[in-house]
Parts: sequence; C-alpha cells; structure tokens
Amino acid sequence: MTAPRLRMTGVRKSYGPTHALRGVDLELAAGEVHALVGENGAGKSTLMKVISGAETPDAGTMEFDGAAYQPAGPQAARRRGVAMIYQELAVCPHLSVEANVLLGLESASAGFLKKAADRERVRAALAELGHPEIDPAAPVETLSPAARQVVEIARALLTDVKLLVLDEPTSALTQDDARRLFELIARLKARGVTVVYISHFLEEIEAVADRFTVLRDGLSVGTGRVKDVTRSRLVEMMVGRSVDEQYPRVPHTPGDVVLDLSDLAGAPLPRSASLTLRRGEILGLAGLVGSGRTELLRAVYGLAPVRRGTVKVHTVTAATATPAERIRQGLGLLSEDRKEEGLTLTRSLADNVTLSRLGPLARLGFLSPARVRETAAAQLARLGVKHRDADQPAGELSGGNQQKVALARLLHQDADVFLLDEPTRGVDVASKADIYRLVGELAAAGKAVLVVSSYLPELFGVCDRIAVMARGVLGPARPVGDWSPEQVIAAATGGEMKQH
Amino acid sequence: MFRRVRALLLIAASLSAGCGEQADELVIVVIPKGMTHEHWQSVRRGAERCAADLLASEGRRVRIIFDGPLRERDAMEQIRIMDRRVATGADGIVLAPQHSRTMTACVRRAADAGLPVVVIDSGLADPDHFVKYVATDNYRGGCLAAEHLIGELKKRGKDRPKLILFRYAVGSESTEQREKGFEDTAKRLCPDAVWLSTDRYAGSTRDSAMREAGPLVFQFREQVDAIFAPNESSASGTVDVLRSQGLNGKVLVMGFDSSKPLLHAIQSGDVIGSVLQDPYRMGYLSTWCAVRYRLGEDVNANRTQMDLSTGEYVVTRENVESESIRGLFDPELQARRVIDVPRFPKRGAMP
Amino acid sequence: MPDVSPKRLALPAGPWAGFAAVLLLFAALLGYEGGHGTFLSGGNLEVLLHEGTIPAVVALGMLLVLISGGIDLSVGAVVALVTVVTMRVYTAVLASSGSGPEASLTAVAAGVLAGGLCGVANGLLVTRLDLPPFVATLGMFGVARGLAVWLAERTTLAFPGGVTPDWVVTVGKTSFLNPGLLSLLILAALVAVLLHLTVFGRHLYAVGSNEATARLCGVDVRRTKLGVYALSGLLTGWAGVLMFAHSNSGNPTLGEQLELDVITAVVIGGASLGGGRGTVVGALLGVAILGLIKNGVSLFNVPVEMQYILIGVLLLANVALGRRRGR
Repeated sequence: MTAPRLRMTGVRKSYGPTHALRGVDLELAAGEVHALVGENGAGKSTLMKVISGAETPDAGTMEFDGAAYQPAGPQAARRRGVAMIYQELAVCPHLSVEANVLLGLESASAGFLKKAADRERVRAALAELGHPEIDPAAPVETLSPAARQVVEIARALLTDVKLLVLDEPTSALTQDDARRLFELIARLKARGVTVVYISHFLEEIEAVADRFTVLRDGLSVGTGRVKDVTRSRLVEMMVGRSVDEQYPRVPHTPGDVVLDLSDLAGAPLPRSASLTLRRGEILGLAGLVGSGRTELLRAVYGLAPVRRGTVKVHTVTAATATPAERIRQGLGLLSEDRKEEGLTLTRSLADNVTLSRLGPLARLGFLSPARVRETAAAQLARLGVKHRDADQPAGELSGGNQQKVALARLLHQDADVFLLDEPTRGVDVASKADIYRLVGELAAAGKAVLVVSSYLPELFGVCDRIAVMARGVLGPARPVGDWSPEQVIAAATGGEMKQH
Repeated sequence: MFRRVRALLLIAASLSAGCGEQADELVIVVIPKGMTHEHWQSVRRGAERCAADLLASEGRRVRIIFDGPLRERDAMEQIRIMDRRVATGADGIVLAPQHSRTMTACVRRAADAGLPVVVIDSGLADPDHFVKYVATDNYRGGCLAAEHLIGELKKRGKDRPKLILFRYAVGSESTEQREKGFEDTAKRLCPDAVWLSTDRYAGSTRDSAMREAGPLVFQFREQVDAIFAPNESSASGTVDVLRSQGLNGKVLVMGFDSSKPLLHAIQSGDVIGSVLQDPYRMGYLSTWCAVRYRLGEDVNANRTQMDLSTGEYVVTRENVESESIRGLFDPELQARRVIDVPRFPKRGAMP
Repeated sequence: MPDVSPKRLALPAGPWAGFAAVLLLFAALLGYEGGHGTFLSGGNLEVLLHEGTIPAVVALGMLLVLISGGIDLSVGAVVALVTVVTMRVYTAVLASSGSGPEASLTAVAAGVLAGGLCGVANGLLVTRLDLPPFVATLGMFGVARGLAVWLAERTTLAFPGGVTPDWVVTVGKTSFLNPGLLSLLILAALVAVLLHLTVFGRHLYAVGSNEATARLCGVDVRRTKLGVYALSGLLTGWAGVLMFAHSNSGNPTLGEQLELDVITAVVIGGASLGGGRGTVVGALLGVAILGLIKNGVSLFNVPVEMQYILIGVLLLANVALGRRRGR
C-alpha cells in the first residue's frame, strides 16, 4: 500500500488560552473525497488553516506523500500541491478569467506574456473541469459565484494540485450549480486529486464524499466510510457531550407580546420568518452560520432591507424603520461584529456606553461630560466591567469586557427588546457566565430577549424556547424541553434542499 | 472605437462649416497677469472703452477678448493662453507678462505668426518682438513715493528717520523698479536716514505679507518711523500687522496701488499715502497702439520710442475724494474720462 | 484593451461618453456664438495636443499608480522640482564646459533622474515604511515643492543670458510634429504594452484588484509597487523636462494642482481610486476631455469659473454612472 496523501498525527493548536485543536489525527488517501464535519467552533477552520499553511501547529506531525510536511505559508503549501478554496473567494474581480487563473503562473519570455499559449492552458483547464462555457477573456466580476469558484479551482489545477480543500463550497450556489460542482469533484477525483470537503449539509456529504472525519471541541472523534454510517450517528458524534454546563437560571415568567414578526423576508435573507416574543421571555435562534439569523435581526432593527412581511413592536406595526426609530420603539441590537460595528474601539468607554441615547445627558445640544462619565460608570459597575476608568478607550479591554460594554449600552438605552447576536463569541468563560446571568435578569425584569447563537449548549442552557433557521426559513419556536440537540442539528442541516 | 471617433469628427466638421470671421472686425486679445485683481478690471474697461471710441469716431469695429489665468502666478497658463490665441487667430495681443524672461518665447512665437504684441504693466526682456510697452513708469512711481514720505516725515520733525523697505518678491520687474526709485530718491533727499531693513520679501499675497511683516515690525517696533511697501498686498499686510501691534498711525506706511481697504486706511490715517497707477489708461492706450499698428501705422517711430508711460499719482488723505484720483479706479468716473491718444505716421514712410 | 468582454463593450465606455458630451456642449456653443468659431480650427487642434502633452505624460504614470490601488499627490511638485533641477544643471554645465549640447543632454538626464528618484522615494515609503500612498506622496509633495523653491532661490530661473537652446524652442512650439508630442505617443504605446502584454502589467492589475490574492498567488507585491512608483516618477521627470521647455524656465511654482487635474483626468478615463481598473486609452481620453474644457472655456470666452464647475460635474457624473453600471 502506498503512503497516504496526507497524514496528521496529534496536531494541536492554541490561540492564547483557547485550545482550537487539542489532538487531531487525520489520514487522507490519494484520490478520495474526504468530508470534514463538526459544529461551529469544533476546530474545522483551524485545521484547514494548518493544512493550507496559513497556521503552524504547536505540536504534532504531518506527512505529505510520505515526506514531512511543514509549509512555511500558503505559497509554500501551494508549491507542494495543496490548495484551498475559501468561502470568501480569492479572486481579483477586475481581471479576466484567464489572468486570474494564471496569476503568478504566467508563461513569459523576457517579461512578455505568451498570451496564445496561456489562453490555451486556461481553456483546457476549464474544459477539464467541465466548464468550457466560461470565457477566458471575461472579467471575473461579471461571473456568477459558481463560475468564480471554478476559476479558483482551475487556478489550483494549473499548480498541479494534489490536495484541494473546499470550505462550504455550496454556501453561495444554487442547487443546479451544486450538482455541477459535484461532477467537477468527481473529475478531480478521477485525476487522483484528494478533495477535503467541508460542509454542514449531511446530504451533500452523502452525495459526494467517500470517507469522513468528525471534529468536536478540537478533537477528531470519529472517522470512517460514508456509506457505513447513518446520518443520526454522524449527528450524535458531532454533538457528543450532553448539555451539562452550568447556566445560571433566574426565574422569570412570560408576559405580553412585544415583538411580532409575520412572514418577514429580507434581501436575500431571511426568506421567511415568523415569530412572537413576549416580555420576560428568552427565545433562542439556532441554525448554521449563513442561514439568515443575523440578517433577520438586522432586518428587524432596520439595518438590512425588508422585502416582505411585517414587524410589530408593542402596538406599532411598520415593516421598515430606521435604527433610530427602532431604538425609540425600544429595540436594542448587540452586533455579532464587536470590533467593526459593535463598538468604536478608539473612543472611550463612556462614549461607547452612552452613544445610542445622549439626549438625557445633554442640555440644548451641549453634552455634560461629567454626566456622561457618571452614567457610563454606573452601567459599567453594574455589569462588573474590569476597567481603569470611563475614559479608557474600549479597544484596551479584553473581549469579554468589551462585550459587557456593548451590553451596557443597551441597558443605558433602556431597551425593552434585546436582540443579541452571538453574545458570547470570543468571550472568556467567566464573562460568559456573567452574560448568561444578565440575560436571565433582563427576562426577570420583564424584558424580552432574542438570542442568536451557534453554540447549542448555550441555547439549551439559557432559552425558554428555541426556533431553528435553515436556509433562510425560520421554523416554529418550541419550548426548549421539546427539543433534543440532535433534533436541532437535524433541523438546521437537513431537508430544505428541495426548496432550492 | 474608430467608428465612434469618426462620428465625432463628422459632427465637428459639420458644425465648423458656416462659422467664418467677420472680415472687417479686428480682434484684440487682452491677457492680464490674473483675473481677480481690480487693477485688471480697470485695464479691461479701458480696452473696451477704446473699442467703443474707435467705433464712434471712425466706425471701426474692434472686439476685445479678455482672457487670462485665474491666478497671478500661474505662469504656464499664461503661456498656454498666448499660444491658444496665436494659433486660433487674432489681430493683436495686449499682454501683461507674469515674468520678464520666461514669457519671451511665446511672445516671439506670436511675432513669428505676424501678430503685434503690446506689452503692458511689466517689462519683457526681449524688446525685438513686441511693438510697444505701455506701462506705469514704476521707477518714477517709487521716486514719488519717497518724495511724499520723506516730506511727511520732515513735517513731523524726523530729519533722520529710520526706514524699512519691505520688498515684494525676487524677479518681479515692476516692483523692483519701484523699490529702486524709492531707495535712490530717499537717499538723495535724506542721506542721514537709517535703513533698518531692506532685504525682507512680502511674497505674492496679503497673507504672506502678514507672515513676513509680523516678526519684522516686532523686531524694530521701538525704532521704526516709516515703511515703504511696493504693492497693494504688501501694503495691506503691513497695515494689518501694525494694527494688531497697536502701531497704526504711529509708523508711517507708504504704499503702492489701491484697493478699497487701502483707501479706507488712507482716509483713517493708517496709511500716509500711496502711488496710484492708471490701469484704465493702460488698457485704453495699449489697445489703441495694437489697432493702429494693425492699420499699418508706425507706433514706435521705427523702434526708437518703445515706451509709453500712463502716469503715476500720489494719493493722500487730502486728495483721496477728488474726482481726478477717483477717476483712476471708479468705473463710473472712468467712463466719463477723455483719454488723449498719440497719433502715429504710416509705417514704411521714410524717416 | 484586450480584457474586454462583450458586456463591457455593450455599455458605452464612460470616457467616450464624456468626450462626446463635451464636444456636443461646445458644438452647441458654436451655434450660439455664431461667427467667432475658432475652436474647431486646425490651429486649435495643434494647440490642444500641445497643451495636453504634459498632463498626458504625467497621467500615464498616475494611471499605473491608480491601477496598483495607490495615488500620487506629489507629481505637480515633482514637475516643478524637475524644471528647476534641469535649469540649474544646464546653467552649471554650460558655464563649466561651454558646450550647449552637452549641457542640454546632462540637464535632461538630470531632470528625468530627479523625477525617478522622487518616485523611488515614494515607492520606498509605501513599501518599506508601509505608509498609505496618500500620506507618503503628500509628504513628497511638500518636500519636492520646498526643494524646488530652495534650489531656485525663491525666484524663477531663466536661461543664462536669455539664450534659449534650439531644442527648447522646438519643444515649446505648437506643432503636430512636436518632439514632446511624439514622445507622448511612444510612451503611451510602451505603457499600454507594459500593462497588457507583460507579466509586470498583469501583476500590477492583480495587486490593485485584490492585494491579498495576488500575494497568495506568489506575486511580489512590494516589488510591483516599488516599480510602479519608480516608473511614475520617471514619467513625471520626463513631463518636468517638457514643462521646462514649454515654460522656458525653471520655475518652482509650476505644476500647482497638476496632481488634481491628472487624477481627475485618469478617473474620468475610467480608472478607479480603489485600484485594479484603468487603461491607457481611457487616461488619454480623460486628459483630452479636461483639455477640451479648458481650451473651450477660454476660446468661447465663457467665464473661467465655468471651467472648474464643468470639470467637477463631469467627474461626478462619470463616476456615478460608472458605479451604477458596475452594479
């Protein structure tokens, strides 16, 4: 038997205190399609970065075609025949297909391009991938996402790729394009290329992959042949642990309906979402990254376009509104992107906390710095934010404390309805517990909370009800006791393909 | 792509047909140093008045085109305008060159194309290629300034005054002449005068003049009796600085040229006087010379009389309201003036 | 323009539309003004080409810089510096050797080299110190202008003894056979070849379009950028030599706002300030459009302030339309 294409043994990688990979074993054979599955945060993206040379592992060994494999960077990995196609495609939009495919590989004599020869190479590569209809002269910006992906794969093909990693390749594709992608993968396989296929969609894996490896909490927990495993067994391996972490619960009881969405559709996501949210209630939104949960919150808040449907806040019905109007109606949004959107990192804590409601702190348009500072200090103290003083720039705080500052703003704003998008992302364990406690307290105080989270144990630990978003469609909300984690994953990853 | 070019050319060609010069009209292009100073507007009015008078007196149709760079120091743009006008046809050019030497090449190009160029306002270092120089006698203007200022100082009992000569800029011919006239005359009239500073430059704007004058005045605030500033912006900047240091009225300022604020300063006594030019006359006479040359007359007595002075006048608190002074810059009074014109013989007549 | 897809051709290219609009505008003025149309005379076409030569040469360099995703605010000041350096060197060599041709050749070489050095300095600031191009070239703008004023001792330098060398007279003269104009045509062709037929050109577009991708694909981003600024500097140096001849002087105040005019022209010509976009033909058309406006405004005796308004409106309309089409 020949050496495997890639063998990884005991690979570990930590970012500070976070252990992204805690010992991964992976073996990929030549000419196989290998599915890599796992929940968000299981370590898939770190593993891919290690394979493609973007990250160096802390420990463990890697062998490629029988020789040691320690790429110094993505380019070094490329030279060994390892290429990676990211979800955000790496193409130069202004350049032609041909120029993109050949970037860095141009044939030249004395600095002059050999255009005719190159065009033939590109045409041949596109034909080999089953896409002869793509015009090598067309600018990439005029192509569909599917065609752009083919351009990237063609580029890999010309580097004599041996191992191709595809990260969620169907996330931006129509079903028809996805089918053609599967055909393309089959052609690559026939050439002896090993394909690592990362996807949440189990039916895709069944359709395209030969073998699979499951990652969970930075460990490889199972591997085998796809046809030997059932879908429910896969889900079981992905979820693994029972939901037994400690979530402080504060008793609270539901009251009047304060937010009522009816068949809300954005552009393009979500495709349809209906829900009701009551005072004193915590509703969790589960689903895959990219399923449309964030877009739902943003559409409700007025940051993303609304195509159809109604939003009723308290008694006011208005499908569209500006964020300023939503804030007046009592909505507060915690952004999932704390650094770019949630906070102004270069400004002081006081400015950050008070930004969304400066009115009470000003007289005739003139702010009272003392009152701004006092007010902010009170909120910061209430949330236990570790900080020097209210004038400290927000960027100097840790992730957890930054998140509390963002929450402090919602408290200062005196919101009734809290829209929390991934409230514990990038937050340390202690701060997480603080945030869970705060969410409970808010509900107990009669506030309504809508939580988007990709971390299932958190939803199960904190929420009263859970609804699952799959491919832009929000399913019915059911009490948390009526769900099992497996059912949530199945709802998030299953079915719905037919609607495409 | 080529089809598009051809289409555009066709449009252009069809439009250019049917546009022809009116044969009996003379086109005189007046090119000032810049467009924004009141000085050049007077030149323009003078030129246009000349055209109107020519039509009234001898039925001659003259069209004045006033075209100059927006900014006074845009040397390249003035060259461009010259070349443009030479290439597209005119009957004469009146030019106030921004620089005495860099403008020579394009004046020569105009001469080569057979266009008479009348130089106004500032000299040009190439006397062979223009036909007349119509300008203020700047040296004499400087002399007048010195005479007036020294007289005022003597009235105040200052027989050994301490003076500052606040220069304008290196390479500016007209202001260098004024400075020289002032220096020569002051030294002649008052050999005992103390020259505190003669080597500082105000630069081209009122702003730069203020920046330069500030430290200069501060340095000599206990000593200085009088300052001569050889143009409008340097004089205005100097007055601004004196006002801010509380020295206005105590230090005598002699300026050159006028502007509304400068005239107010003369009335209030912050400026003891200024030397005015006659740009209206300059515009009038230069246009006159260009037209006469075009009509075949010998405007410079076979290149022996190149210069034509337009006069220089001292304005003081006493005469600032007089009609003769106001007629130098006030548009209404300008229109009522009668300009005497020189008469020339036909060219080619034996001398 | 090799990289033209059917889609791109179908949309009337922005600069052509702008060019047509300006021509039509002045055509309308022709009708309105009646008999005084000198705008379309053959002589004026020569003038237009003559006036456009210098901005066009600078625009070729600016085009390269904009495609790379950068910007060069120093070109106007560098042009002024080059005129002063050229005149200084000419005067010095003439005084020491007495040979006019030798003085001219040395001076021209020194001028182009001075421009190139400024470009290399810009490139090093951008690639080695990681300064944003805006800041790096804004700094160079100040340094070059200051150096020019200092070298010229705050005045305008004229030829020693008022004797202008013959080649300067020839280059300064409006003519279809002007050597400066011919040099522009050759340089434009060379830049077009560089952009579309060489690996360097390909990498340049890639760096401007998506720097991260270019790096991933093994493009030497730093070297590409350094090359771009150096080339732009050399072109600006040549433009400075032409300016030296056109203005008949070494003048530290020349080229004020040239950078803005040239950036405007190249952007009207379809280049993007975001990088990755732009062609030689477009850049030259942009210069032609600006030249037409300046020339026409002057010859039609339209108030000169209209020139600025027209250019501004045209720029906005062009880019806005371009963005709309891009969607």
